[in-house]
Amino acid sequence: MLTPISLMKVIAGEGNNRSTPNDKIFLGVIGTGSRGHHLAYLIKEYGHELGMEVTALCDVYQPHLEHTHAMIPEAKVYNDYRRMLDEATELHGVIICTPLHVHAGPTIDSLDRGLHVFCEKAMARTLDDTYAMAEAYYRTGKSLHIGHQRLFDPKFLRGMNKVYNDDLGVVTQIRAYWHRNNDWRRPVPEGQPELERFINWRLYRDYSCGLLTELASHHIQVANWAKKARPVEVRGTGSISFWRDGREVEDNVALIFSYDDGTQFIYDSMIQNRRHGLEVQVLGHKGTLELETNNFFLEEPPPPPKPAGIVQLLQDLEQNVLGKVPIGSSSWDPEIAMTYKGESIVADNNTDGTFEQFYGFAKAIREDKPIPGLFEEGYYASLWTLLGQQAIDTGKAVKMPEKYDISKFNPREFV
Amino acid sequence: MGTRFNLVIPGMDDRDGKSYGGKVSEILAEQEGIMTRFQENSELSAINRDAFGKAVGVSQEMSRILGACDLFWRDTLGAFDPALLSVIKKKHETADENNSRQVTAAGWKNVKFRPHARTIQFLTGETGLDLGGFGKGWVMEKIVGYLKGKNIDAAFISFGESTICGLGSHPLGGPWQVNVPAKNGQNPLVVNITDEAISVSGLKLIKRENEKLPVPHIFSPAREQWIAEDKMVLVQSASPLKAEVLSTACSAADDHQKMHILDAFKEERFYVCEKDEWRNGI
Ligand SMILES: NC(=O)c1ccc[n+]([C@@H]2O[C@H](COP(=O)([O-])OP(=O)(O)OC[C@H]3O[C@@H](n4cnc5c(N)ncnc54)[C@H](O)[C@@H]3O)[C@@H](O)[C@H]2O)c1
Repeated sequence: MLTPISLMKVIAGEGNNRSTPNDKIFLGVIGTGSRGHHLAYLIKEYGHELGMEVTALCDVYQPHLEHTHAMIPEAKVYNDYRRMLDEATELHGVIICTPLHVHAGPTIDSLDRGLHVFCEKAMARTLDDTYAMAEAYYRTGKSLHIGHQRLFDPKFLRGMNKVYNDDLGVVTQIRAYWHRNNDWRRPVPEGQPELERFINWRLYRDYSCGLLTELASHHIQVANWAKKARPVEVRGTGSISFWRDGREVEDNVALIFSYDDGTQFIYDSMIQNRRHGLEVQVLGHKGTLELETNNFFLEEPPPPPKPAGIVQLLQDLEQNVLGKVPIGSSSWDPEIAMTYKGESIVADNNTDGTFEQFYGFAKAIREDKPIPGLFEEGYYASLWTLLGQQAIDTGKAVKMPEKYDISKFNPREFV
Repeated sequence: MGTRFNLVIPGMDDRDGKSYGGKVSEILAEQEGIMTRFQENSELSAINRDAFGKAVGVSQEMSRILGACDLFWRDTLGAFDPALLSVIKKKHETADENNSRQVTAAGWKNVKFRPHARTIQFLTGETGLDLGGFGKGWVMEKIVGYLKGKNIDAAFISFGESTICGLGSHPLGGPWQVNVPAKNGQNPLVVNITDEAISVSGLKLIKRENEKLPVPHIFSPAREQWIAEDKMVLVQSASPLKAEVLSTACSAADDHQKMHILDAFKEERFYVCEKDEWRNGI
């Protein structure tokens, strides 16, 4: 079980993330598209806090490679990740931001060369690739960190800590949704229509499960984390109802994941309406978390604070002083309707955990061992994402085939 | 009502305190369940949904409440009007502070209340009940009655810090003393209360960035406008309900109504604060 406290300690810098001058971490980025460029940017801007530096870049698509190279001109560039792994011998770790169907190859090859791997979510396009990545992880003992950044987002960590501390009571349901309103297409360079599937890989079944692997995977991870369990079954449905433009992945989906204790995680996603945006609600018999919007609500709201005048009166009475009760000082607000608006989970909600993930990755690289329990979060989230797609495709309730259970590898628990 | 309630009973042991506190909370919850417009399932909300065009039955308690409202409406010449819900709601929806169009269509004059049959009917669709300037006083009466029945001879009760009651006298002797500063935080009015209540009405201050701005929240049916004068009214009375109702009514009243109120309520004391100075009168 991956406790939120353990990751809070990691992002608080406990366990010495910080580098000494001769303790640098050199990283290669494989796939310098939109996400790869962004992560490379974060490391270039803030990586020095962790002693991290990007020294090698790899992409098969020259415009993307050049774009990121222009930002980090001192990095070496490659068109083939195998060559990068052969030649860039200074590397301690790689960051993999290729399309979903190109995660497994670079990940397994990198692990086998003794490198630590940060691979974007979801893990892979197929169950077998996902499992092969897990095998490589356990075989090599290196860290394989999957990019579910909510694991390192302070509001999710604190919120999850409330779950683990029983502040919500029994978690009886989880609901999440992710809604957008756009066609989800990337522009294809003029005169090169043959690049359509390459650029818009997330719209085609061979490479992606669309809304599920791109978005749902995050909330499936959160739900499992909050339940401290994996689902036993998933049902679902979905269709292309609006964006009938040749894409192959659903533009609206609905899934129900059932847990052993009889509770459900209810999820839906669409890209024709953005009114409700995204949210994940953890509902317990004592309280509710709305994690994306940083809110916590108690079922029984706490009493409001005593007004200043009453506090003064109580003090006077206790000290046997005959005082006047001051009512309506400058803070006086008569007849205010008191409504319970809940409380913020964290005071400053200014990060989504994307950079904080590298605290964890840096720690794993420095200690040359994974953060116990972290990989399993990514693995089961990815696996159940793909099983969700199966449920949609077959119209049946889907369970996890026995062979994908990784408990046989004795996953390391956090101690 | 949706507001904060504080009860201080000096010299009470923990067990009695919990027991009285529990009972008082029950009274509050029960009354709120009847009178609030902020809960869909309150009796008041049900009336507001159903009473236009047809007589609907009301509970005994609601009947007593409506009877009291009717008397106050008459004795204030309509300055107290508990049936202006649509006007109040409109203001919150549109932030239009001078929306008087519905006034003639709304209001207690369009309410047909039959105390013996215990029914209420609204003659216009704009009519709806809002007990904002009434409920705290009504509940305060109940709570004072309960505490007296338990032989509690001293207590200080505050309802949203705008309706306050001093039961008996201060444990160190003499009246409970309340200090009510003017808007600038200075020049307080000191009111002595023994078995009495006070209620304060006026512009509500809301915080916007660093300054506090007045927001009108009392509507004057006679003047057909929201009261925007920078003025506070304090009414002192042996009856918390009278204090509560009259402080709102006085803020809303035009000159004619004010004269009538002063004449009709001889036992109450009235104070007004204008330009940061308190004086007697309204
Ligand atoms: N965690 C998050 O919030 C988040 C956000 C966005 C994207 N992502 C993930 O990041 C990954 C990439 O998404 P993206 O939006 O950057 O896609 P993208 O299409 O913009 O970038 C993918 C890049 O990989 C390159 N590539 C393809 N095959 C390659 C190969 N064999 N070797 C080297 N490079 C290759 C492509 O040329 C492209 O530049 C996906 O897995 C996606 O799910 C995660």
